Amino acid sequence: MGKFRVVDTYTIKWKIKLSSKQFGYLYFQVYDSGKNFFDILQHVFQQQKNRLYKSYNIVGLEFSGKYIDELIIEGKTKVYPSVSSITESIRNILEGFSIVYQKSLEYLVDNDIIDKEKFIELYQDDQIEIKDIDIILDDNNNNELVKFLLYTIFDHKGLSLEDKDTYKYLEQFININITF
Amino acid sequence: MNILNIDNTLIIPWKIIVSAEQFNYIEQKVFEKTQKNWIDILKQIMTENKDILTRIKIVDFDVYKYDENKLVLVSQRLTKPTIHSLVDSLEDSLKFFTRNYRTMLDYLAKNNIIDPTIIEDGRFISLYNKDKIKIINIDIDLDTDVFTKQIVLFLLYISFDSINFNLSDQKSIDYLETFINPCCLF
Repeated sequence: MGKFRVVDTYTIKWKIKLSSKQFGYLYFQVYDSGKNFFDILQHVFQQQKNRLYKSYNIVGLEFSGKYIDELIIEGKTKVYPSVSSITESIRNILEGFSIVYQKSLEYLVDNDIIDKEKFIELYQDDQIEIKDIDIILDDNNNNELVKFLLYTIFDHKGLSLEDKDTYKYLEQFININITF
Repeated sequence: MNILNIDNTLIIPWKIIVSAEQFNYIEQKVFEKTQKNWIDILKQIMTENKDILTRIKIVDFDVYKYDENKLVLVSQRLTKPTIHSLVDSLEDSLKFFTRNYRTMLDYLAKNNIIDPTIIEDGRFISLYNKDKIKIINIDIDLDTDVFTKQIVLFLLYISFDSINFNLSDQKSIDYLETFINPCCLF
């Protein structure tokens, strides 16, 4: 893993599983128009990419789903080495998704692929639920991720492991008499 | 949810590299007087003190030579999913090494393997001031991908928990869902 030095940002990949009946309506309506709902989301994301990077540190968003009421988002975000930034990264993915989703709905309404009034009716009694949040590991840099998380956790307790004072603090345990 | 399932302890495998000139002195003296490897003596003492391991939740501890003057301490300790427990696990690993190292020094001094006049209360008197044991590096020792995933989830859980954000708590999920369910569309 190398030394405990984290001076930069890290890209964390979140996989968030959402569930809502409105997805089923969208899939079928879009399919009837000869298009794929995930492709539309992806296209809108590409259009919004700069905005999402600048405002939400989102590097990438991908969309998929196995069931008609399911939508899986795989989002990459730039995270700073702080506990609040890691938490914020999940929120950022959700906010970024929400922008893409709403822009996609506008596109579908403007192109008469979905019925605006019908969708609003559906939307009002059908909230989107979060079913699962998971982190996606990359075989190449798992060590870096563990180092990043450890650094962040220790830093939150005021024990930065790149700081000489912390090493001095820990060295007390090997240079004084110890009793358990 | 994967992240939600952290309600137990996890064995955190620490890999700590420490360095000191005194290790060289011990190595030479032990070999001169006994033709033994001093690390084997240290390991023997650790085995005799195995009951302490259980008390401080360490499930395994190993030590080996890394380089000249440097030792690698590998400690596997049961850790609860809290920041305090994570820091404690690191501190206890260092304490366990120290306790055994001191016992070994006393044994070597009593048996005149090293000069007894330079040892007092488990410390090198003449070497101590100019030659403290230094921590060179601290790592978590990762082996398999499956284990890495467990550690990542465990650390994430601790991160979130430290700011009272818990993905097993419906309130945290409700909070996150506000970002995907805006009040007004179009």
